[in-house]
Amino acid sequence: MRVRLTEIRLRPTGKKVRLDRDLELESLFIGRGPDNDLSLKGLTISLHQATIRMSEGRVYVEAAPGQEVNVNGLVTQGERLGVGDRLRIGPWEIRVLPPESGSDLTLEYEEIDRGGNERAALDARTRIGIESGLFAMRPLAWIGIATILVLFLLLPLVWSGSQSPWNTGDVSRGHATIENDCGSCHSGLFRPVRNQDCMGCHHDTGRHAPVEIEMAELDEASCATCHLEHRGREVNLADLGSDFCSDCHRDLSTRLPGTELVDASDFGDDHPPLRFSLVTDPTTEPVSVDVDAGLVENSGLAFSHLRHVGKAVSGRGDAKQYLQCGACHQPDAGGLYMKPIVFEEHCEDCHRLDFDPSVPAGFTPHGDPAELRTRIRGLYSSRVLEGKVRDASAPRRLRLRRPGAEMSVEEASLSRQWVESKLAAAERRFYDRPGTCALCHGLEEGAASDGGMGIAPVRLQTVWIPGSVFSHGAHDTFACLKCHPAAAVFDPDPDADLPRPSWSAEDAIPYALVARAAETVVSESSGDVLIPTMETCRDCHAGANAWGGDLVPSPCSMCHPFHVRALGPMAGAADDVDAASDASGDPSRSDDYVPLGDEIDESELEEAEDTGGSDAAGRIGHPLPPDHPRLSLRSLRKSPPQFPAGHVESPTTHEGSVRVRPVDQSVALASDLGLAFALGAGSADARGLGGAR
Amino acid sequence: MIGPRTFLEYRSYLYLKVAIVVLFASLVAYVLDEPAGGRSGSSWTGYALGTVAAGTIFWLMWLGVRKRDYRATGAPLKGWVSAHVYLGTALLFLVPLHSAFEFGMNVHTLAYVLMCVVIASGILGVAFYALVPTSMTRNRNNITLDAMLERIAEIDGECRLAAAGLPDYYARAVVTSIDQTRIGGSLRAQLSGVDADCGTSRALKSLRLSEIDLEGDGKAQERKLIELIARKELLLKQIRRDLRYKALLDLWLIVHVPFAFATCAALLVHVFVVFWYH
Repeated sequence: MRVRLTEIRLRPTGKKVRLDRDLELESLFIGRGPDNDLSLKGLTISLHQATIRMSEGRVYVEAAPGQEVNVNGLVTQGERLGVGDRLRIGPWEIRVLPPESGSDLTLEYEEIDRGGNERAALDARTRIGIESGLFAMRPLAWIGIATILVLFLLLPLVWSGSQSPWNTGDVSRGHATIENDCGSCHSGLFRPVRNQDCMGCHHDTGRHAPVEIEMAELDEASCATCHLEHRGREVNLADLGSDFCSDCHRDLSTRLPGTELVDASDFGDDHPPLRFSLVTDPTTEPVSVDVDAGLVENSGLAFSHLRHVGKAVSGRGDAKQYLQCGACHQPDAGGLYMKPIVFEEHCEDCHRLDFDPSVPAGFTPHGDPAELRTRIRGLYSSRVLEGKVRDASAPRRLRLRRPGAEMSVEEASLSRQWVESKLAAAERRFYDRPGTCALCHGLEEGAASDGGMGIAPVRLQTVWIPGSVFSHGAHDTFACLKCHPAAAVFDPDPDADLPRPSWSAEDAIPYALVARAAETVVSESSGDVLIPTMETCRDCHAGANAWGGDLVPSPCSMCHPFHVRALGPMAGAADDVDAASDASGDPSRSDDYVPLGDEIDESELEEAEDTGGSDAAGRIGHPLPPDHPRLSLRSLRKSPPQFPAGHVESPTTHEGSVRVRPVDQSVALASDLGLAFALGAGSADARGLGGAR
Repeated sequence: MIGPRTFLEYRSYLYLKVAIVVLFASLVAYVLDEPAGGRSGSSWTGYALGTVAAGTIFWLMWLGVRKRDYRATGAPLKGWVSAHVYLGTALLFLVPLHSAFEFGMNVHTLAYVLMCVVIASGILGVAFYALVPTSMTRNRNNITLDAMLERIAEIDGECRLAAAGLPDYYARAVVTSIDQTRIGGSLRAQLSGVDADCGTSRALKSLRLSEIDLEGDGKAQERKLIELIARKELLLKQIRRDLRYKALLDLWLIVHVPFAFATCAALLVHVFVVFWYH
């Protein structure tokens, strides 16, 4: 066959030229070897790659054994060729053209993949540097910036539900329910938490010092200065350490010249003696005295613990009982102090005010003798009028009188004499016979409201150390005997087989043995002061920084709350002009200060109950026992607690004859400290106390 | 002098001393200040330390600008790097003093964690700069990377010529050596410093195992080809070691810089949030 081969060659000038040659042969051999009819350069080409031959007017390409050819992009062993087909061998392309100039086959070939520049080819297969695509410094930096700004700034700004990454730390347990509501404390952009932000809830938090005291430490401080939040769930915001107090109180006398407060820095080794609020005269205010062995109280009442404690009394049924401390001294709901002693509850079972067997028991009210006289006159007068005079000593005319009969002048005179004689007999009984009024009370002619015989003034003290808070509840694992040995004696019948009283210590022993062994002088007089001294406290309580040993490290705040509500509410922050001016008014305003607002709605009460109000107990840093009864706002509302007051009984039980003089200072402090203690902020009804005044 | 000694020892460890003084002063302030409610980032000492730390961070970032400013006057870049290293490391301790060692799952601690990554990568960078350049210079043996690549291209061309007259077996080996030899590539490939599947190594192996009996000129061509490819293989090993060193010197930076920017972003969020919710 005749073949025309046309090579298209690229000149260095970039111009393409055609070089034709005509061959006459049987088969056209193609390969890298020089012996081929069409010898092509290129290491990827075999020495002999393929053969083109003609058979019966048709042109075929056949790959050499073990080789392949690429026809129109398809790899094959052999193929019929037609005009327009393209063969690819190595870097070369062979195109089939229409036969020309009498040839049977015209082929055009060209090196289309020149390669040539080895360095360029090498560079194409070389990748140096570790950055690629997004894995490069700039993209990564932008990704990092964008991720953080979107996740931690933009998203929290538009959706408050994603603000938790902003939280610098868990808030304390008491604030846990409002933890995710940042705005409840943080009220404004770029504004610190202000006092009014706190006092929205803690609105009855009291001042630390009277408003007229000017000290930079107090004036410049806001709530958040001392109470740092976001420091963990279990952190007690009120636990500021004793240094917090001693910073000022160590040398308060120089910082605040003229102060009555004595310097103190540590309960263990720098604390002045306890100061008692002692009643020395029931008609005057109690005096503040340092504790001293020789103190004598004069409350206006006569009482002997010796005659009472351990005394056998008849109980219910046949059971024999002994008077124990708890028979009269019952802790109040807050667990702080003892409830007031009430005659009707604690005395009357034994000390009956009877005067006439024909008069039913309980007729005689405990109170103003003037009222007693009125009632006795009424009692006997009605007997006369109703014709029920049975008394053998009564005039016969009165005994025979018919009910409803008209009374003559003579009869009226007789009956008046008889009634007055009965009254005189009753009064003699009350005043003269030991066992009724005169047993406990002094009598004063003209002291009653009707100008007759009356009861001498009485003033009973319940808050003995008004400068501190003592929780009986927190000490209820100890027997009364532990701190009040002279009063808490126990002297059951040694022969009786009695169960150990629940209040007694494990090692409680009969009174007689206590008295002998401890040389305790058992209290026989109401003048005895039975409050323990600081040495008794120090049996268990050490200074704040004590460690090791069995003693309890006791920071100042364990007994002395910082905020004293009786001094009025805390001032607002410096920018809170209204709150500041409120608080700078007359300190006596604090008496009018009523913490429990009517605007509290039920849902708020529910919430407070859900949290058990438990944070409140620890708010001023005083640990209450875990089983201590928790108070809730709701339960308080339903039954306001009875708080200790400066006198024994509430006005309703006195009704007049005994002149009750409230111990104002103690009442104020007890209400302040007691409420703050049991409830924390904003819940108790101070009027429950105020009403007692 | 090669390595980081130049900047570590800059002016008799001037900035190391500065860093120690700053840290010591911070520690004293931290210990002496006992604010009511306990130490924290929001005490005055906390604010002061936080301001110092934030200022230091932004100043450290400025190195990225300073090192590109060839007309800058003042302290030489060496001094800047020296201060960068010592003051940056000091932040590792300064920031916990600022926060009074309070950490939590929040954006504030995130800023610290990101900063720790930056500092750790920076320390790694200093270590690499202490160790790598010596090995790198020794490996290069006074030849530049470009010269090595140029030499390989030359060898490729010589191989093509040498194999032109040889049987297909040799041609295939040469094509394998040229087309299937890759330099660099993925991060892992560069860090490993070797290529277990290198075309050149495979080609050399197949040439050495050749059972074809060539004669005369073919024999000489074969020997020449083997010699060329063996030399190429040596060059490739050298280049790959060089790329490994380069990758090590770049790798810490690709962590260091993006994390530094992320730290700044987190720091801005931190400052914004704590002053918003003051």
